[in-house]
Amino acid sequence: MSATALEPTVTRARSDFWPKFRRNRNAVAGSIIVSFVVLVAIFARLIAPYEYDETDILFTWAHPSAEHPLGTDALGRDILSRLIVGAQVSLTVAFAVLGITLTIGIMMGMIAGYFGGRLDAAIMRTVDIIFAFPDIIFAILLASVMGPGIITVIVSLSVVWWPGVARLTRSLVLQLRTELYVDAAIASGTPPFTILLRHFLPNIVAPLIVRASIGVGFIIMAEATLSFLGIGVQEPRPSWGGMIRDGIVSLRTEPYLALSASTALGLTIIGFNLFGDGLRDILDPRIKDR
Amino acid sequence: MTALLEVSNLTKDFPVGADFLGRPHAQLRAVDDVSFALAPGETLGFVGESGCGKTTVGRLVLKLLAPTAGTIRFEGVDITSLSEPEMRPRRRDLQVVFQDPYSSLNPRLMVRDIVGEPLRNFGFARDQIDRRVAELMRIVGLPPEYMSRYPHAFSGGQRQRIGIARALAVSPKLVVCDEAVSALDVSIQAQILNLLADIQAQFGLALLFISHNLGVVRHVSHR
Repeated sequence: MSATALEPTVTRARSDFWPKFRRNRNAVAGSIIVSFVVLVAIFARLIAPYEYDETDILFTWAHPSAEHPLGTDALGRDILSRLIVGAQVSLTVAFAVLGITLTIGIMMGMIAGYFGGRLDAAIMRTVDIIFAFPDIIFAILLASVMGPGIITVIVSLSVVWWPGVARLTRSLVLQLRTELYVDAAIASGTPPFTILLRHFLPNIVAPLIVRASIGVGFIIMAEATLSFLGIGVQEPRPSWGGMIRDGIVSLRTEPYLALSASTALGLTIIGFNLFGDGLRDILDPRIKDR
Repeated sequence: MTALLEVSNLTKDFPVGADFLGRPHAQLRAVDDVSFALAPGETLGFVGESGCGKTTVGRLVLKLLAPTAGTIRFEGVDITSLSEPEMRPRRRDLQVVFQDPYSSLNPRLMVRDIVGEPLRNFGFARDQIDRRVAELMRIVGLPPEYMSRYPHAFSGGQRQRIGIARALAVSPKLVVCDEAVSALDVSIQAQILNLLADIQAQFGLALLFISHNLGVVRHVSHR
């Protein structure tokens, strides 16, 4: 092998990421939807034509018009504006839950997988106990104990979602545990937590990123479910789940509220799932190019 | 003369199978009553057929495994029962070169960080590390410019040289070479063996040379 013919400094995994990404239709479609929703959420207050809590009692259940592109709800509030601010609420919850669960789940999973023994048993039995309940039902239980609100939603969804991350992380760590560079690091005198950060974390991020992007879809759905049931995000702050509930009462006569909120919810979830599936196809070395 | 490494009556059992309470069905004796001593600067060849427990002895000496019975003395100190934090400062004098040059280098780290890892652990500063890594690259016969490449850019023989550079980084007194040349083809084997011999002559370190190949062991060993 001649030295001059080698590409320096860049790893293979990184160098062919973008060409593969561009060829993957799911990933491209997903990323367009995701970036659209994220941008709307970030600039919600600038884009929204009205204040989300501005009522107009004389102008309730208005049909779509130039003034109110998606009509108004039972209190005369602009549906489009509430939809846009609702995106902000959904994504705030999703990314807060993601941040919390990834931190806790990765830490717990790495500790369980690397140290093994009783620590592993204690962590994994806790995970099993939480897994034993259907996740949405467990979240509903926690939310009804803690009382409604956005913090409740974040906490209860974090409680049901970190075990999945922990389990995935643990299995990835167990796979890498037999690599000789881990033994070499121990023999070099590297302390355990440095080994986890330097040798394990960089080698397990790809599957965790995939897991996280698919997880966003679940978290947004779960937040909508809690809000739909009235134990999630509270009025006057808009949430897609709450808007669907308000709209469902008059679905026959005034379908715009429920339909527009459902469409926004569905599209967002599809977007994140497509994006996650696409990332998995690209990052998983077992799936070859077609 | 005191021995650098003194192993006496070393025994290792591995549990085989387990019932639902985690109690093993039987014990497999991988290493049975092994004793040897190694003087500073000496090479001891350790030969045996596949699966006879040579690698296990190497891992026991490195404290990557805990022995079932027996003692390991390094520089006169019994390291058998030391906990990992107690062991860590001593690891400076006790390094390893593994058999598989592919699995022994983290694919996500640059050569600079792989070879520099032991140096970082023992408190060297950034610029000291870079200078030392460049020096080590020259010692093992690789251009120092290759420091900022990732392992995939190297051939098996080059990777093994990187592994050797890592083992030498903190100037250990003993290097355990676990089948250090078995994964390489014959011409590269000779190169690596000569490199190890040169390094030993130059730095006066002891080698515990584990191999299944009698010819290889005869080439490097003092006894």
